[in-house]
Amino acid sequence: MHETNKLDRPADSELLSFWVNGQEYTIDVMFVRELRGWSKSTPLPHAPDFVHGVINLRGTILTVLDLACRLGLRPINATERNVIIVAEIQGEIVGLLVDRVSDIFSIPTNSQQALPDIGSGSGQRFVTAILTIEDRLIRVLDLNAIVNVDAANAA
Amino acid sequence: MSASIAEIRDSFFQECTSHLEALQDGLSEIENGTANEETIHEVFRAVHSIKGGAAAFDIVTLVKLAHRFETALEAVRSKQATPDKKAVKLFLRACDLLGDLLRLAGTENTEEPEGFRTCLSELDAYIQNNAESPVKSKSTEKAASNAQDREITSVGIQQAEPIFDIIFEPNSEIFPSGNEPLYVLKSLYELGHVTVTCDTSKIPCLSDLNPETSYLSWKVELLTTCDLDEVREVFDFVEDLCVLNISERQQAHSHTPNLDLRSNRVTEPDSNAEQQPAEPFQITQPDALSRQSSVKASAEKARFESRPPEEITAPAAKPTVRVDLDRVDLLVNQIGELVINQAVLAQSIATTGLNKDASIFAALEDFSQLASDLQDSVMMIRAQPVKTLFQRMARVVRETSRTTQKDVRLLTEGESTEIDKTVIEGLFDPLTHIIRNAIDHGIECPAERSECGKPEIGEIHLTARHKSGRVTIEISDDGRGINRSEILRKAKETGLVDQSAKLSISEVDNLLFLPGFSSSNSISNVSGRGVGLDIVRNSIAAMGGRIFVTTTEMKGTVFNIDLPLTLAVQDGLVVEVSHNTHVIPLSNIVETLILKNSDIHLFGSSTKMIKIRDKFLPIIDLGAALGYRKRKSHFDGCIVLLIAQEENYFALIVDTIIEQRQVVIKALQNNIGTCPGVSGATILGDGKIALILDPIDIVKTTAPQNRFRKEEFSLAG
Repeated sequence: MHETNKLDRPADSELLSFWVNGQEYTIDVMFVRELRGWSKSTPLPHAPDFVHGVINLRGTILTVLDLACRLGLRPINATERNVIIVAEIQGEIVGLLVDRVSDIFSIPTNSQQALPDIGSGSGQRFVTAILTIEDRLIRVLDLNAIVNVDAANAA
Repeated sequence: MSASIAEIRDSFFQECTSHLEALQDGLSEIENGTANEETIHEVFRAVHSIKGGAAAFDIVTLVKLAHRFETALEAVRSKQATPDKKAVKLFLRACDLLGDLLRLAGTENTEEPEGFRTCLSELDAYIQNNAESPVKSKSTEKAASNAQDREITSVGIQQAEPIFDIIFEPNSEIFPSGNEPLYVLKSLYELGHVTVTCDTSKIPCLSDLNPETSYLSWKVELLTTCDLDEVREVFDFVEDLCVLNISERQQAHSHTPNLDLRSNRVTEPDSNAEQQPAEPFQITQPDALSRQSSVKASAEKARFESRPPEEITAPAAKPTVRVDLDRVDLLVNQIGELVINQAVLAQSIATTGLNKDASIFAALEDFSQLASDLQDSVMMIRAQPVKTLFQRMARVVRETSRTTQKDVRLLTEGESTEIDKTVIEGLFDPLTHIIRNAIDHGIECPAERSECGKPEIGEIHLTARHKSGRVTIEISDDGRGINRSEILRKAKETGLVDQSAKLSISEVDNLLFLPGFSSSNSISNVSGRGVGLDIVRNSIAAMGGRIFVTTTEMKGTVFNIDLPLTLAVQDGLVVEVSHNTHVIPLSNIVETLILKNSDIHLFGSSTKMIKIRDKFLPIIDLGAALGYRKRKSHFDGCIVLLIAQEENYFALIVDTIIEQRQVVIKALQNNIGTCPGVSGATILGDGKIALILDPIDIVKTTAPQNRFRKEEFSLAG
């Protein structure tokens, strides 16, 4: 779905941006299935610390990742004001816990800047590019890296 | 159009599966000597149907083998003799190969499987040795070589119907009198099976041609159940206008109305000709029929032939519907939702504080009953008899006994026992492994067997039965059994067991399931590489099952696999630990009790055991094991679940027991890796998620004291 859509409109990509711990990130809107408010989740014992827990998404057990923690930031202290982005990656559905969703915008694909080489901070391996829109610095997330735990840990 | 061909192709493969099943059934009946005439017919029909379909789809290798196989079976059939042991073995191998070829063809793979050539040549040799009437073989040969061949012989000519040879030569008066030979010929088609040859030799050159005169004459072969008078009646109106000669003869068996396509004979355009009169003036066989429609016709025919008239006498199978598995799974899921929804409803009604006598509670009771009935019925849809699994095991036995050169017979029992489809699929590898082991290590070679006073042919029993809501599968062999002292020696040698350890009999037996353990002195092709039984145990545990082994020296070994009926629902105890709700499968729990301080005994510095009925059991604090809290220091008054792990018991401490209920098992997504000790999750009445725990896995990851301490250490650090 996501791929073909890109082919149809090679010039533009539509992105959803959101805030995590004071930083603005973005993902392609085609990954996003729905947005929902945070609800109390069930913790998973012995799971990695970035796994926030599981919630009941209309009968499906949805794993929710704490995106801040995954990016190496302080874990989110979730309240009803937080948002869970339900995303579909590699055929699997996963929830991403963020602070708030800010924007949906459409920009030419080629306006993304390659990431400057600034050494490897713990969250950097998940960011593929950066965008600047009116003074805002927006980081483009690599969702595959976010979800692919084994590869990410091996890297 | 291509979509419908794909559909036909799919249904061909599906039908082939049932043909193969029938074939295997028949062959094993022949093998056991319980076959009758009908069995051989059935076997023959199965192969024939597979061949027919394969020819229609141009699966060359399959046709080759099926054809040879059919011819060989024909030899058996015509003699009405039960084939000898060697022949049956050959047939069984051919049957296995057919299965392989079908699987390959399903993936559009045209390569020849292993042993294909040898099997072909062996079948050929068998056919040669059992030479039969050349006519039959010729007709089958033809059928195989040409997919479009009408194969009229097999449709209905077996009955001894009389044949009328009719010579119909209209004279010059026939057209002026308003008669039309075409209609006459058409009426003949209504009487039976017609082959018309047109004689055009009398047609003059164009300048001499009188358009009002008939120059044609016809030779008709009519196969019919009608008598001479009825045939004559057709010619009633034209009798005086033609030369008519009708002669009757009995059908000779060698009659083959397979037609030479190049001659100008009139014949039916397709196999439906019996129902609809064909166009007799179509001069050539419609080679030009589009390939697609002829493929369709052949497939149609293959389907038709798979239900020949004799089959009516066989016990009628229950009508069934083929349903896409996805649809069933969807239904299972939706019913699961319904059950959850019902629980939500019940809970919210309970909180309204309505009078308990209110009619809504009665209705709710009915609803919950209905929902659980519905759930049971849906589960039954997914359930399948283990028969297909057992048949595949029969093949494993055959192949392994061939490579090990031991004569082994597989006896099965309880083939109709139904288990969830997923469980059946998951059982294939474990069973294969166990059976290979049994033949390779368990069963002795024939010489050794007769020395021990055992029959030379080894036996493996495969039994399935329902036992208190679960299914037990038992695999037993009558081999030499497992030498316990040898196992113990090996285990100590390889360091799997401490040198000084003293193990009980069942503990020794279960050493077999340890990773890296192989009891065989020599490594063979078949088994004994030291990978295996631990994987068997893991894959069975993954399905919520357990496996035990008992062995008697010189008498044999018995493996017992205990499985849940379904993987979709489970009876569980809902408990609370550190404010987290969890479900523990009821099948793991032996009893529940409340700890008293006097029961608790201290071992070493921190290990605590409880004494229950003169047995000391280790205590595991679930809250700490799951990392929710520090280990409790006082267990007085704690609620304890007694968990059975095979013959070992342990006590699991929980905070509260909430209720006992049936839960719908939902898989956890794997995108964050697996959670040790958690086998799945379920949604409770309030919509909250409760994790389903696997207490045995929890023990495995926490019970060894050193590992447990490490856990605490890493939590603290």
